[in-house]
Amino acid sequence: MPPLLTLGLLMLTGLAGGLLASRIGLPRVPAYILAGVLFSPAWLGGHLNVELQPWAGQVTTFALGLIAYLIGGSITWRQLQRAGRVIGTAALGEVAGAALLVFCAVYLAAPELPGVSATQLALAFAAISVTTAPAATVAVLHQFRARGPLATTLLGVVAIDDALGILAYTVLAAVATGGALWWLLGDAVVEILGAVALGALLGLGLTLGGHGVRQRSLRLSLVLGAVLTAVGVAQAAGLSPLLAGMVLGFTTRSVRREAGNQLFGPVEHYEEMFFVLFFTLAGAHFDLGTLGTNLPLLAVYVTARVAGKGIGGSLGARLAGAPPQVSRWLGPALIPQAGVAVGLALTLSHHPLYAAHAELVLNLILASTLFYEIVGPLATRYALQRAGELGPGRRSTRP
Amino acid sequence: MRVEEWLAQHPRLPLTVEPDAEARQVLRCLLADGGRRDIYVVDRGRLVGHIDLRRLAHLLLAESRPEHTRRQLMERVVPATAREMMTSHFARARPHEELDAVLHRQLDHGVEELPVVDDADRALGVVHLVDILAASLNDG
Repeated sequence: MPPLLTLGLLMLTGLAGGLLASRIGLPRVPAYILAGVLFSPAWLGGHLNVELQPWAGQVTTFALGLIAYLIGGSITWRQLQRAGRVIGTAALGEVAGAALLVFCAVYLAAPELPGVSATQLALAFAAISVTTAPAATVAVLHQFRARGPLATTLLGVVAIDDALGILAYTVLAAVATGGALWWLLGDAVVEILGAVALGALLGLGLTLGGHGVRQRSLRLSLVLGAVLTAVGVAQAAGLSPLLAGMVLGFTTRSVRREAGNQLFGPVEHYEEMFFVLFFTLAGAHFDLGTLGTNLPLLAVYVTARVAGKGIGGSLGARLAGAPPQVSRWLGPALIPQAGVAVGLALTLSHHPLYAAHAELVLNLILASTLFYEIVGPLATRYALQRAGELGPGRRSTRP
Repeated sequence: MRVEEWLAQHPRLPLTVEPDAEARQVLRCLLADGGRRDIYVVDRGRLVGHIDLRRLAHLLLAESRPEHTRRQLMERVVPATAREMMTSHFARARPHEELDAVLHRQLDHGVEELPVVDDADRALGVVHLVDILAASLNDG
């Protein structure tokens, strides 16, 4: 099947499934995944000769680059300084906790795979484990009118931890693909610092360009052009496309504080479209056999991530002197995980090191996403309830 | 008619705030002056940005919305200042311009109060849409 037709069918089917799920009060993410599963090799994909490998990697990298740009532009230095110590320390704690525990647990439980060591597999899952799902968190806070120190800290932490997630992914992926210590000290540093320099340089250019372009439609072309250039140059030069995209966004917003509406507004609402793409593309890789034989690894990964978020988040908050209801209940409220994690898994599945085991990475991340999508909002609600921050509930408005 | 002639007949000044004013402070200024919709940010005497009521509403009523963009998420935790909320690309008029040309710009940008500035971007007044509509009724 031609790639553009595959892309169109995946998006339309995903959208239809998502709308139907919303209509009957169910979350949209499982519907997107199921729509993708329809196009997996065991279902329609085999009959329709759906081929994802040659083009899906490029589409995913661009989409994730654009999301990284939005993540970078969502925070300014000034906001970070004013957000307070608790939010910053708790975010660092839950990111470090999840990455460390997932790394150790997956390393111990990893099956023997040709071409990939247990360390490399553990680093991949550790890198993906860090991100959360801001949309699910906001929906729960809204639905139950939650208000208080835990709700505010939770919002701040989910606002910045995808940025920390991309940083962690970049570092861990660089470490995973490095062969020896000299490489780590040389090429990995170049990969990261080069991406920072590239993003910063293009960010300055985008800021200057944005000043001269007044029409909204032209600003969209300007932003998309800048992100494509950042991602493209990073790929060609062996730098991290995600980090380049994120630094591009951060520099643009930092240099021109009022750039938010002009240079981020035109692309902000594309994020959900890319998540539909991520979930359906990942769903199209669904393989029951791979999932069935790796259920123990899935259980280990999910348990380690939940424990890591809980322990790390609580420790971080406690270290910063947060009130007890925050340090005690922040961790369980951070369980939701969705689009960015699946995007990272898709990117990793196209990496030469992991390409042979793409099915394993994607199927486990998809299954864990389904679990987090169902259990995550319940855990967030429970944590807010125990912290005494729930107000009278609204009607259901699931994401 | 030129803008400066219009201003002489309908003298009005723009509502302004300092760049470091927080969102609630900006809203108080708007509401205190009879519920106006446009407010301008002044930095060392120069008009540097525009904030409309809609932007403030998005920010201050975020809690009532089930979905946020990533920027809105952080803005909800750390209240934005006027400089962070404003748009620096805003419609403005010069005193020597023809009122018809200025009116087209005003309607195109959807602002009720279009600021008139001199060459140093200092505010001389505002062309208020209500005044122009009232004048058109009298002319008709």
